[in-house]
Amino acid sequence: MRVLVLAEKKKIAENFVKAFLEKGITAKYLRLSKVMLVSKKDKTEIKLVGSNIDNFDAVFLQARSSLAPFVEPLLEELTNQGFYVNSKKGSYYLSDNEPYTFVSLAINNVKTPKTLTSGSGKNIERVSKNISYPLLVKSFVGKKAQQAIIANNGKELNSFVKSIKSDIEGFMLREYIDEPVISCIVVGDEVFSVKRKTKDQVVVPIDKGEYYKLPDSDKENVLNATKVIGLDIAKVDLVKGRVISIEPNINLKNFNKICSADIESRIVDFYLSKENEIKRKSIFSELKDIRSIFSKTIFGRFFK
Amino acid sequence: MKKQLTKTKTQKEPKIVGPSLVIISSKGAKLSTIKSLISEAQKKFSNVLVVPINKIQIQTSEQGAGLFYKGKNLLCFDVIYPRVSSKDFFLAESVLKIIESSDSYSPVSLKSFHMTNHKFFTSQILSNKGLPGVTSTFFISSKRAQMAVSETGFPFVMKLISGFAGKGVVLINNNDQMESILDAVNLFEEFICTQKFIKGKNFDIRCYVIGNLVLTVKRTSKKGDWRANISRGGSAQLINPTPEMISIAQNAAKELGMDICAVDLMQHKNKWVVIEVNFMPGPFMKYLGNTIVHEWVRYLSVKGKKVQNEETKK
Ligand SMILES: Nc1ncnc2c1ncn2[C@@H]1O[C@H](COP(=O)(O)OP(=O)(O)OP(=O)(O)O)[C@@H](O)[C@H]1O
Ligand SMILES: [Mg+2]
Repeated sequence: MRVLVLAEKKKIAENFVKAFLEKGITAKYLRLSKVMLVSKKDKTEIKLVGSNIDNFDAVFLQARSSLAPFVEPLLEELTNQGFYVNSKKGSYYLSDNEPYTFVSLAINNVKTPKTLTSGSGKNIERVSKNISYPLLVKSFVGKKAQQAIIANNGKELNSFVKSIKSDIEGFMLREYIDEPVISCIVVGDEVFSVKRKTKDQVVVPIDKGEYYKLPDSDKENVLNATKVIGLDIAKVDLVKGRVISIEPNINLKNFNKICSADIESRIVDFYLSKENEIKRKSIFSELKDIRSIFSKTIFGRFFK
Repeated sequence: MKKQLTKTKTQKEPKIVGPSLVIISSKGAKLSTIKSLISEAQKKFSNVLVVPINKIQIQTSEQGAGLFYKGKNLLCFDVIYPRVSSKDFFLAESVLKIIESSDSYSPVSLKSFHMTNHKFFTSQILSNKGLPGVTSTFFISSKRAQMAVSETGFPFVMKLISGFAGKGVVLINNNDQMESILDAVNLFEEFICTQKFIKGKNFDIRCYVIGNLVLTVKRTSKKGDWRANISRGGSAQLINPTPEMISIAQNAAKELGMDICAVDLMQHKNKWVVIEVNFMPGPFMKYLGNTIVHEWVRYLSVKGKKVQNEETKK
């Protein structure tokens, strides 16, 4: 297996490249901005600065979900061309839009808190009758969350909505559950989790978290969530067994320490287990193609 | 197993005789188009509701996901026609996803929304399926511009991936022009793609695909403009489509999973190539009256009756 590690910065990719190399797997880092797509007659090509995509058969991708408009066509092409990639088609559009993530999870029976999204703040208090306080309320500009508060009643909700002057895309209300947040790193079917307490409704940073053994039912919910979103490797946050966030980017430093694990190396093993999913045309199958072309010509009988 | 919030509320809705229709309208919707849609739809549907997308409540819970407007459950309608654009991305992804998981009929899908609101993605999908297009490139760093030029040459067309009405489409003739445009692109952090320029054509062909029907319109650009957009002063007239146009338009719609759309074609080296596909095409009422709107509604009502028949069978 030859793995192309695509990331926005070298710093993010370094440890992953090292882990692959340590297990004797060819791996090379390339900055995502060095990728160009070209669509031509009958096909689309993936061009790399200083390298050739044909030198690889798997891709490990780490990029912010806001790059979805670039990543999605790239994932389409990588998948079409038979590469194994940790993120599936559609996963970046999903990760880049929080209400859309919750909609997809809910439709597919993943346990999530109740949410309510609306493009306008008008009548928001009346709307909120369908959901119980306290609420986490977020305003969005484009697809980015701009401001967030916890509203304990309709009055607080209304004054937050009224305080927003800028042009916003909409509001999302979510039932706020004041319990510790369980942050998980998912690698295939493996889950590494850290418990983070809240203090005055604020979650402590990950490095202040502690090791947590995830109950089986919660683990099932987490794995179901990653399947729905299309991420083989992901970071998932849970509260009281409910998924509250999921993203393709992972930062392993604290997880490795708190869970006394070497998650990078687990990722490499996971990649090795995906070897059979790679559908790249091998040199051998290309030889067969040449044979079939020749067999249609006068030289055909030499190949039969 | 898919779940929806529909069933509990269904009983409360009044029983309707003909099919019912919801039109979900974009933030940038043209009033004349909506008015014409309503008046045509009222002839075929017994209940017509227009809902601005930003007024919809999107609800999720353990029971699934639902769409509500002023207390009405939108998934109880037989037909939902989302006329939304890239401006509505934030809400449209959720709305289209929920519609897809319901029993209501919609002539467009979420996948088609993603692809048609992305000019490069459209070219990619269509050329991979063997449909004719022009060489296009896509990159995120302006450092790749020279690499792109080596594919398309000068002049080339640079486009914002989700622009419309000719906005954000510029012709670039040389390196100097390219550098100054790229400065602006970087500043506004926009996604752009480039396309080989088709020379000497001051018109394009818009194929309205409506089920199996293809209505074809020739758009000619205003004197002095190379872009044939009506909103830039171009004009439009219905023409008879050639079999080639019909087949390209229908195949493009099929690959993108759309029953209603508009496929824009240009002539390049005596062949028709796809320039882009429109998710929310305007009906060019100034030139075509309500011809297009009439056909949209007729098609939707046929689909609506089918949904109704399925419902009564249950
Ligand atoms: N590659 C090209 N070569 C020459 N002319 C082009 C090319 N691409 C676009 N044009 C011209 O520019 C116009 C606008 O381009 P395009 O359709 O991609 O943008 P748009 O803003 O989405 O327009 P629409 O109003 O159709 O949505 C086209 O109608 C056509 O006349
Ligand atoms: Mg166009």
